[in-house]
Amino acid sequence: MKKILLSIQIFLDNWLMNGILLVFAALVAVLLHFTVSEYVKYSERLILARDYGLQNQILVGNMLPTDDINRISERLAEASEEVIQLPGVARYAPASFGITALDEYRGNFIPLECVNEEYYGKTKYALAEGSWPNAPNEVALTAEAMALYSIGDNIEVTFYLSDMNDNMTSHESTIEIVGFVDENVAIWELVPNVFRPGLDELTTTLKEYADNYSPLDERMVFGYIIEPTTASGERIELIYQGGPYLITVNADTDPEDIKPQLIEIFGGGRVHTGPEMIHRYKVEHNEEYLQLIRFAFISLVLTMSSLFAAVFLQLRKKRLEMTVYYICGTSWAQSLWFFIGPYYPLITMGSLVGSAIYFKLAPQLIRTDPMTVVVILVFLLTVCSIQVLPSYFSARRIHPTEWIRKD
Amino acid sequence: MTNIIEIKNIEKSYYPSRSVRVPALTGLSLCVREGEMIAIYGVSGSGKSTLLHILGGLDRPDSGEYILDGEVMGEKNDSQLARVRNEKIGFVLQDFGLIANRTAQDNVIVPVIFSKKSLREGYKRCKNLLDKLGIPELERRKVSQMSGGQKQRVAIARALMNEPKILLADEPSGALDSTTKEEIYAMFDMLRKEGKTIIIATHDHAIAQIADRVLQMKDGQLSEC
Repeated sequence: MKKILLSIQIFLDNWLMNGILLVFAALVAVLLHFTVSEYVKYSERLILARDYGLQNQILVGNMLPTDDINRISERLAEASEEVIQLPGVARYAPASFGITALDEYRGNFIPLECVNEEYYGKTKYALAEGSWPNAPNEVALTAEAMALYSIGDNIEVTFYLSDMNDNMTSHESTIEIVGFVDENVAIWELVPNVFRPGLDELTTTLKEYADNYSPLDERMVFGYIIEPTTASGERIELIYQGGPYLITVNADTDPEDIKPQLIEIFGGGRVHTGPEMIHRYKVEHNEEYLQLIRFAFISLVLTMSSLFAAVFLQLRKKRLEMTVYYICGTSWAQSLWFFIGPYYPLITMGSLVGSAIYFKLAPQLIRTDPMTVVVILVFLLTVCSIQVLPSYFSARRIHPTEWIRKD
Repeated sequence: MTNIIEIKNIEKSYYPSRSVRVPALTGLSLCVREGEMIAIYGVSGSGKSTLLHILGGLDRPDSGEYILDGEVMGEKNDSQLARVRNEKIGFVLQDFGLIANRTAQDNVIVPVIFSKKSLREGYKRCKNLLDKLGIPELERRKVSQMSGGQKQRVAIARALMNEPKILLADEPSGALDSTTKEEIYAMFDMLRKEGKTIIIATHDHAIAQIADRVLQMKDGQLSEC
């Protein structure tokens, strides 16, 4: 206890430098969290694209400022025969279908993406609990809805559909909750209305999706359904409205080869091949990512320089004090450690403070888990050791009497 | 009286570079009785400080035997030597060896930090020591705001903190004016009368008046004056 008090006293003697170090360590930790988070997000979308087979797909139909939404939808549907006849084209289909269920009893709106086994077999979204739907009217909701529903709940709902002319039709039915989707993982959002879509524009997370549209307190949850049917078991005919179409090409066909023919059919600016969107994503994202790495690296260099300066100055300026402790009854190694050892708890504290700041200030950006906190901590302590230990061993080699011997 | 210190054929050399060997102590032997006060004279570089460092467990000899209070010092590891320094030896240095930005109390209490005594006990003893050495008013004053004589008294108080059997003083009056010197010597005399074993390395022959034995250090060897 007495030695801990002494360490604290020594630590406080150098409070300014130590304070700066604490701030730098926290900054590095925050930036490393951002870097890891960005990398996870970046990789996640590339994996999603790979699993989905985006390399062999072409997206058509994003709107230009001059487009009429009804006209472009018709045009996309009309082009079906023309497109499917192109050499190398295997499939031409709307990118997604949606339907909204209203749980009147609880007052919840449940927009549902209609998927089939092929879709979620490709996407491999992670589930927080339960399983993916595999029968009509089975649904998996966003994990946020766990506060409202449980697995196995059968809910009386009304499905609502609107046609091209905004005429609403409704169907009474029952849906069963079979799973909850991890709302932090990347999912497809194939409704781009941007001129040059990349993976960023084609993907989102359920959490971001919900935040953009309506938070849970407005009683809106999102999910996936395998095929909506009425209460009597009749399949509900889904109406596709306004979204893009996806062209799947054969494995031996390069999407770039048929792009010119598709531009002839749909016009420029509406045809985007998978490789092109992936490349665009990589280019745009790499710049941001590299920028982040640069910041993290600069902060790390600043931290390590400050640490090196602090250790160097401690060992230079505090020689007499170290020798006094040695004379008064501690070993030389321990005496040196009083001056160097506190940097470990300091860096640990800085790293944990940085992690706390990151988790507190950027919850919507969190893509790291508690293990990342440990990895960042171990990384900083390792780098700290690279700075501290050589100085420590170098100082140990000089006997304390060298500093007080007069003759 | 029994011998508290016995050293036989102690040798110690320094190596300023790999090929240069500077012998500091060359087969030196010495016995010191408990309660004895010894003054060691010698010119700069004669090995006085080296001898004191070995006697105080700050350094180890290259060869020879050293028995302190019945314990063979050569058999002790660094931690055990540190324990001996803490419990049995008090050091007074020429340039005081005090931490300038700390108060007298902070400095005097240092040996207690490494001992089994409680801080409460330490603060009480610190107060008593400062009273005894005539500087009670300096307890909360920073060392950097003290005169040379005041600093040396604080250094003596620190050396006495753990009630050591042996007090080693390396040029204790080197940085003091003549009046202050006399006051410091009077303190050593008082401590000798209380039964402390005191070894003082010095250039100042005035210490001979109060020392039991006066030894001359020359070329790494001791001789009676």
